[in-house]
Amino acid sequence: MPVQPLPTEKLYHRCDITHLGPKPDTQVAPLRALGQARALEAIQFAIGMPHNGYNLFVSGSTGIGKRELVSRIAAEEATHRPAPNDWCYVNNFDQPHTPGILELPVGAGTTLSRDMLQLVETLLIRIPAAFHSDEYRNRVQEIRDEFQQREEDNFQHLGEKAHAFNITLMRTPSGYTLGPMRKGKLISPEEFNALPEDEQHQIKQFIEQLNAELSALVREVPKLQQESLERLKALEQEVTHEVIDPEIRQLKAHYAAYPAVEAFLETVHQDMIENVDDFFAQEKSEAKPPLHKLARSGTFHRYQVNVLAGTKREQAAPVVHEDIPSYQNLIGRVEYTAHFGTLNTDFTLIQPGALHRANGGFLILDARKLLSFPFAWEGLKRALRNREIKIDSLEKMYGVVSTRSLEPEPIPLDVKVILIGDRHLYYLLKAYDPEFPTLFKVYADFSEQLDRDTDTLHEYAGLIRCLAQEEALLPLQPEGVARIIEQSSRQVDDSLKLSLNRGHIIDLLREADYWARQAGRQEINSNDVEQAVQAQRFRNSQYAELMQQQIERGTVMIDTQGAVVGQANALSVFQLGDQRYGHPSRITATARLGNGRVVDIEREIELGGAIHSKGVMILGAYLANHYARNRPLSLNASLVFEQSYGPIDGDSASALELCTLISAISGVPIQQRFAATGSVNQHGQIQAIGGVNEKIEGFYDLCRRRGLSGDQGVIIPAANVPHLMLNRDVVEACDAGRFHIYAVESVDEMLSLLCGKNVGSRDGDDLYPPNSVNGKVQQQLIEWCETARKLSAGDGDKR
Amino acid sequence: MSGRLIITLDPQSYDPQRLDRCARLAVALNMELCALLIEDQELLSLAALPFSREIVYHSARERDLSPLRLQKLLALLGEQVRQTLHQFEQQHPLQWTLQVDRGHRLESLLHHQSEADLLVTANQKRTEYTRPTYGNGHPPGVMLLHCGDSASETALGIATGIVIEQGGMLDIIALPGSSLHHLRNLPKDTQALPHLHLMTVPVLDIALLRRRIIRTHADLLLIPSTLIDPALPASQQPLLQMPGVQVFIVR
Repeated sequence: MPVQPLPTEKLYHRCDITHLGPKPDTQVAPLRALGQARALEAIQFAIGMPHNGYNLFVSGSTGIGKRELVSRIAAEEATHRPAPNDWCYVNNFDQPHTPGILELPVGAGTTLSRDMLQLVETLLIRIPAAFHSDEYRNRVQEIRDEFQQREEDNFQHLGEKAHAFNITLMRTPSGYTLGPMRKGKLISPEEFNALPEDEQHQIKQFIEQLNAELSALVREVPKLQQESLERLKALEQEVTHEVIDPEIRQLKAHYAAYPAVEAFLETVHQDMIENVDDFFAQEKSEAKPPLHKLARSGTFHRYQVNVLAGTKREQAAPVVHEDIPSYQNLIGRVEYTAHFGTLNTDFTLIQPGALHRANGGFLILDARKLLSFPFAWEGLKRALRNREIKIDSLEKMYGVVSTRSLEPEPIPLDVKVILIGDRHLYYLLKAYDPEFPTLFKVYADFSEQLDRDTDTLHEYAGLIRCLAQEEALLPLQPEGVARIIEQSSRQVDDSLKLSLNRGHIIDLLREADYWARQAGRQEINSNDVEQAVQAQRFRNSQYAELMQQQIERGTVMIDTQGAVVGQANALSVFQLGDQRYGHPSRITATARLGNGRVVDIEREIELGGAIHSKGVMILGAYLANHYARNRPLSLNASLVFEQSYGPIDGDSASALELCTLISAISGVPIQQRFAATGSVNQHGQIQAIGGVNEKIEGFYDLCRRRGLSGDQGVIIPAANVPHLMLNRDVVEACDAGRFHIYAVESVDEMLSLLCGKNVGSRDGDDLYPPNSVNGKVQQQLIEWCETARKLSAGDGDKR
Repeated sequence: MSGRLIITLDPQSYDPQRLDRCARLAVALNMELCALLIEDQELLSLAALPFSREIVYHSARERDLSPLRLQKLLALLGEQVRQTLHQFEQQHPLQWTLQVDRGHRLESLLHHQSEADLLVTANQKRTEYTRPTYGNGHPPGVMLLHCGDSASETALGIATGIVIEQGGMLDIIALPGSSLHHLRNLPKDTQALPHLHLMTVPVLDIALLRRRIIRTHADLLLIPSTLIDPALPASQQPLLQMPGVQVFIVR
């Protein structure tokens, strides 16, 4: 029985609006992971799994909603987890280039940071006040008086001793001197000379002796000064302790539960005692800066607390999205300040990375971006492997700089990393990075499609309506929802499936909303959706139309009527952006006596891909199996895609190539009113191909432009019938009998349509009826075989 | 000119800043400035002895005490003072004289007291003990001994002017006879000083006062001339012998 055109209902799977479920006010939750049960389970498993290495890789096409779903689940889980502790960097007073870390409960880091600033501010007031107090001055004065008195006593004692010898101690502009006296008055030189020699000698002796003592006394003065200085230092220490100790004690009591903080405060205490001079910064400065600014100035940086994470008082675990996952943005960095051409840094300039912010929670990253930044992937793996965040500069990673910088103590890491990428990337990493499987043990692969059945339609319609609501679009009429569902099936090239690409649905909804508003409607109906589909297609179809025009003008030769031996219309698909278009191509074949070789010209010139070559090689096997089981295949044949100047691949034309070749061998012409698509196996079965809708529409467009004759049509594999979701105009043309779609299961069916003749069946002797297409092929091959045998025998006789 | 300000100078305690301060004060008070260089006659006589030796304070080195060097020092000081005052005169309307007096420093001071409306002593420098590392932010203060007479009132006006110009604390000790029992009794410009301290002393004990003055941060003391008894020998005038403090005797 001849193959019949497909009925209209097979060409377009309409959506029954009675299956669309309730009205908008009773819809399903908009963010439900419709059709993603497998991915959802994987995500929940990874998020709930506490062990190391159970990080998650999520894949799926763009717009499928994977990031939103993962974020939502992570955010929900985060609310059930405690907020992570604060991590703070503080100065290491013994080795300032290796800052220490403090772990504090959430919020306590910020509090400690404030407390330290307050401590410095307080001491900036209290220390100068203590040293300016009357009490301190009095004590200094007491020390001064004491030593002044000791000096005076010493000189007074010497003066009294000298007086006993009638000698007086006097001051000179530069020091002291001793002079002889008589009756309470100094002796003049004349009086001295008048004294007996013995007395003169005695006076000289006394003075010489007293001079020695005087020298010794004067030498004592610097010692007294040194001693007074030491007393003063002790006093300063005492006053400093009196001021600082209570403040530190109070802080220690406040943080008594945290030994690390107590230890830090102890080192701060020691440093403050040793550097009390710093607290006179305000009175030393000409500008007299306010205390809160002074407390934050570089002089007091060493007492500050750099809270890396936990600056906000969160109630839940963090969920961090890092849009620029560079090495430094992930691991953190040490910044520098320039001062007169010199770069300086300290622990306060350590900046947290995404890992710090996400510690104790979830970090969501784009895998492709992550891999595109130098060292970012390695840095992330190292952190996950070692379960700690160690800030190393990029310069160090490159090994090009040898200057000393900060080496902050590593921070323990407890984070669940979620990488979002595509499947290709996942399998590449799995194949080429041996660490990847151990660090990312869970894979969540988002489904692209959903079965289109009564149950899912109900939910899917709800999803469409909710997305419209979320986007603040006009409400949809049921017919509008139905048309979107139909278009969703078209997007996945399957009338029994629905697309889960929310991005596409939302785009279509927005555009339909635009057209509805343009028409002044309050609701989106099916025409608005149709207009959105057609307008989108029109906007992107310039190149496709140019190609059609070239065919119309005869620049590219495609016949749509008549019959030609060894020539047929194949169909191919090309993609421009989001849109795919089908267009016809001419295949020609030639056949002659030969040695059984089928030449694929595309392959010979290296424009044919491997799959295409495979298809052509199957043809040879089919020919031999069907027509020359008991004799050599004495054939040489050539196949070519005419006017094709680019690479060709795929086997979707292999069935038509076979038919064209058979036409060439048998001499039976092929009707050009048909275009055909489908791959073939060695048994002659027609197999499904991709892009069936676009291919049909491509040939339809050409025929429509030239004028539909009523007998034109496209032959497709029967396996592709469920995929048919053709444009409205094609369906209407078919419904009106002006165009036809045929579904075939075998080469014979396709051949009978193309040739318009009975192809014939093999009898018990493996022979086909002589007038059938197959019979003519078989007969021709037998003839060539005989000719070849004779030629071969003649050659042998000659030898 | 409305009076005479005498400043005594000797090589042992010469401080150019103090001379400058006195010169400014003289200009402010429209007084004639008399710089009085006192040549210690006893020391010169002692230096003439062949065996006289001097122990240098800062090095404990022993050397000959030469009258020639003492005279050179005095001459050098005289020239220095002359130049300082000459330069000051170029910029300020100051009338000044330089006088050299031979004798004992304190005796000379007492001798000239009657000639001066304001007499400024040159007391010896103190050994610097325990200069505090911290808390030196405030400038040295001024102390006034007030006993209620007109010289005390003049001294109060001078002290207020000095503090307004140089800053620091004005410490007023109200002695018996003074009417300054409360800050409100002070003149308005004195009350307006940011750092002001008033203390009443019920009994006049000069020795106690001296100790108290030395223990303060004041490096300038104003006293009415009535507190100096010209009948007493110089050695019994404790207010004139305060190391490190410049004494202004106001008549």
